[in-house]
Amino acid sequence: MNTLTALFKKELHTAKWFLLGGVLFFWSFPLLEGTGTYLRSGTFRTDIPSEISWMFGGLFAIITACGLVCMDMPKGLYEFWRSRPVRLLPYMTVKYIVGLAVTLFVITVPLLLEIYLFRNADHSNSFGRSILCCHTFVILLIYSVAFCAGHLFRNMTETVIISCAAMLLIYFVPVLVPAMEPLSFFNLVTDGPAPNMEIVAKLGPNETPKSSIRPGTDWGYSFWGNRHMYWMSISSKSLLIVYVFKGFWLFTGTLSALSIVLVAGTWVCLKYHLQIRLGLKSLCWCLGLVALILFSTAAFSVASNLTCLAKISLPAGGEKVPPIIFCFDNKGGVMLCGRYDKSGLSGYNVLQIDRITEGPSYTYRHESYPLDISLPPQGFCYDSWRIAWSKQAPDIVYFLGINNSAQSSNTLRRFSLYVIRLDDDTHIARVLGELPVGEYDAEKYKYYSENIALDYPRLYLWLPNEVAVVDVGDDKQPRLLAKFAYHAGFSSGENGKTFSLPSDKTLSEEQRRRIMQHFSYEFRARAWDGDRYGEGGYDSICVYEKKETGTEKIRLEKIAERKLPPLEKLIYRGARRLILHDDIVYSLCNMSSLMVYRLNESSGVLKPIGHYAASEGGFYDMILRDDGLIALIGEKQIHIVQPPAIKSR
Amino acid sequence: MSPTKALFWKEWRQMQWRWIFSLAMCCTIVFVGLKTRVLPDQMIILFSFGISAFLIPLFIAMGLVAEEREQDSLRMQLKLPVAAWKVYVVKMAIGTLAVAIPAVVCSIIALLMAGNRERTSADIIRIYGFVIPFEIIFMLWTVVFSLKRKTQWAAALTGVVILAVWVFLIICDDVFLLEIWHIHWDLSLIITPFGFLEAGSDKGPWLETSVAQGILAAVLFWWGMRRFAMLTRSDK
Repeated sequence: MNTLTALFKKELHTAKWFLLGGVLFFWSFPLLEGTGTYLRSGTFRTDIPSEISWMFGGLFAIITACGLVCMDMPKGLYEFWRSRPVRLLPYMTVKYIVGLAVTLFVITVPLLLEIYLFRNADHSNSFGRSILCCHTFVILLIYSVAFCAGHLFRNMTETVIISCAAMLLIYFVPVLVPAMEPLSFFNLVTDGPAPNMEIVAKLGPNETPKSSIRPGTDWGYSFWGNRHMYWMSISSKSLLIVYVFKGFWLFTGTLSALSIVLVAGTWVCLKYHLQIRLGLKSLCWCLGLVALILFSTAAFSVASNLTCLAKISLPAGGEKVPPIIFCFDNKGGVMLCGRYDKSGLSGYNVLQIDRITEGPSYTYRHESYPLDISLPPQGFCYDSWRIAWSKQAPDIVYFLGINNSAQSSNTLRRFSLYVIRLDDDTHIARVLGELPVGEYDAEKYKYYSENIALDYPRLYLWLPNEVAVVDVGDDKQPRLLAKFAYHAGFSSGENGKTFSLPSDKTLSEEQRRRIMQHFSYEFRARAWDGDRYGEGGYDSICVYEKKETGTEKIRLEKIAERKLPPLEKLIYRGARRLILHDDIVYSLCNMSSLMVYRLNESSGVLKPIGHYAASEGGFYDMILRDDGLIALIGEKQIHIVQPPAIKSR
Repeated sequence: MSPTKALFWKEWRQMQWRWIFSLAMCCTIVFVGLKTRVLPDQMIILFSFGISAFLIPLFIAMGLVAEEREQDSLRMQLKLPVAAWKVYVVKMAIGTLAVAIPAVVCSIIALLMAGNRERTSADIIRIYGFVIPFEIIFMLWTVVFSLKRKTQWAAALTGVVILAVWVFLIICDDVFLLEIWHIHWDLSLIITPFGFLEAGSDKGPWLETSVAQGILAAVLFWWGMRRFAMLTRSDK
């Protein structure tokens, strides 16, 4: 038996207990969950591996590295091994490789199983792939740190504590220091806009040029992956393309390089017999201090939570899809709720939330009105607003729906505007008037979503290829005033945006501007406040101001921008809804929280002045009430939040 | 000073830095979290609750017997003219005090800073009130099962294994009893102290858990005492 084989056998003998413990812990939970899903639904499926991998993977790497290193360190044992005719490098390398192999084997096998089990699932398991692609390198670094620390401290308890402190630093320092954002594992695995990508592999016929296929444009193809790596298989051309985001290389490259440096450091420790002796007490205080500094830095940089004045529970039953409230103040509001039976969505209820009485308990009265008008088969999406309500006519709801009785063919959809009266006596939504607004080919406008906006008594309808303006002054007889084609859109420059206005000459300038403001689509959250326009995305929040108005275009100039630091990106994950009011920007974020910024025009800065994080549920929408309070609308509750501006007055 | 008093004094001095450290960690987290209001009050309270429930008992349990065996000081302690069971009882009493102090101080801070703010004061008292029995029982299990461990590291690992087994039982209960066979026994919440944590959130079967855990703790304490006596014979 040569030296290397003997060393491998010796290390494997030591590592077998870690392997067994790791397999028991990391594999039993997925198997248990998979068995449960199999017994329930006949499908063996589990998504636990990705969760336990990032939660406990680092800890397992530390335990394995410390165990392998420190079990050779008791009195005399290390000297015995060093007295054998074995060179330093193979002794250290074999130990490193065996420990790393055990760690990765234990952690990645269930992950691979998870990805395999989800291969034909309706929803892709991108989190599992993200963990596999990115967290493996984090594990590598943590393992290397623990390996190095083990040789430096030569004591199990001390090494584990120091390694845990280092692990906290590896995970959280990049989140707190903006310059280190590319190394932030958490920011990397959260959803965000796709950064620049490059093709790293292309398997298929050579005649297919790389430039002919771009990710994001070829949506018709099978397209799966995570934020860092995409595999695109195009069956018609038998082509598989692997795209990798450039940030991924920086992340994995830096982590791998740091690991190599640590292994070299370990070799130096061994070569020159470097050793640090610290007591358990000082180590614990060191770890505690690291944890507290990280926590306090994060807490103070996020700032204060705003006060929630009340949580109003919405009636149970009926999913709110989407929870649309067009106007919500102390007088009430309107919300649309899906009504479900065994076969699925069977209709809608118009829910009127009425007479919210301010006081210690916030009482309210609600009525539900069944509404039996057929709606488009694809249902609602969050950004499609098809219901309008105004406090000028509180018992009337305007609703853009499909008239099923007038359906002339399977693909044609006949859109009608319904004026619906909410009858307090019978609790039934009665249709007062109907105005047919157009017939459209559903196939042709598959990805279109209707929109409706009300500036009482003018109602604007965003239809598949045109805009309709309706006068709703007379409830029973809505009147079509104009219908014209409008290609809502904008062009972006470095410091500004140019929006196109509707060209219809029968409309006043104010009406054309309102139509543009209502229907200018942007994938990012957006808001108008007079001549100011704000938009929020994953990376930044910007505020623009009108500089020039032409007959066909409006030009806006950027007056303030906040590039979100990594912690803010991580906590808020982009803006879902934005409200711009005076100098305050309210941003409803995707993670159940509200962020409030104050605009400083002279310095071009948006300064965070408050935030609100709710403990339960997520919010779909928010309304700035007449009294200045913010109503955050969730699936089950409405939270009334006091903004900081009011507090300071 | 009587030998028992001396034992109390010695254990108290020995555990002092551990409970001060635990206290500093927990209280700072509660204070900073509730002051900055970075998260809803409930989340901050639950965060400190998690540290109190899982980390502090582990940390204290490491220092009760395993530390003395690691430093080889247990042998000398047993030369004192005191019965072994008294040494064990004193250790457990000081351990109980050391795990309870941080939870009590945290609850006072939380009450002063956030009582009736987002959660009622009664809620806060209930949450911390149920964490203390969990901490004591977890510490007891860890100490009893790690009596033969010769290092603190091994004792901590024993505690982690105990936690993993409890979690495993709860998952088995959820997956098999509740979801597949639809049996609502809450068995795992009674046989593991997790029932106390559930009771803290006003859901768990606190009475059944208290009775079952009380009996289990008494048996475990008695068994631990016997193991300690046997262990000390060998250490002598």
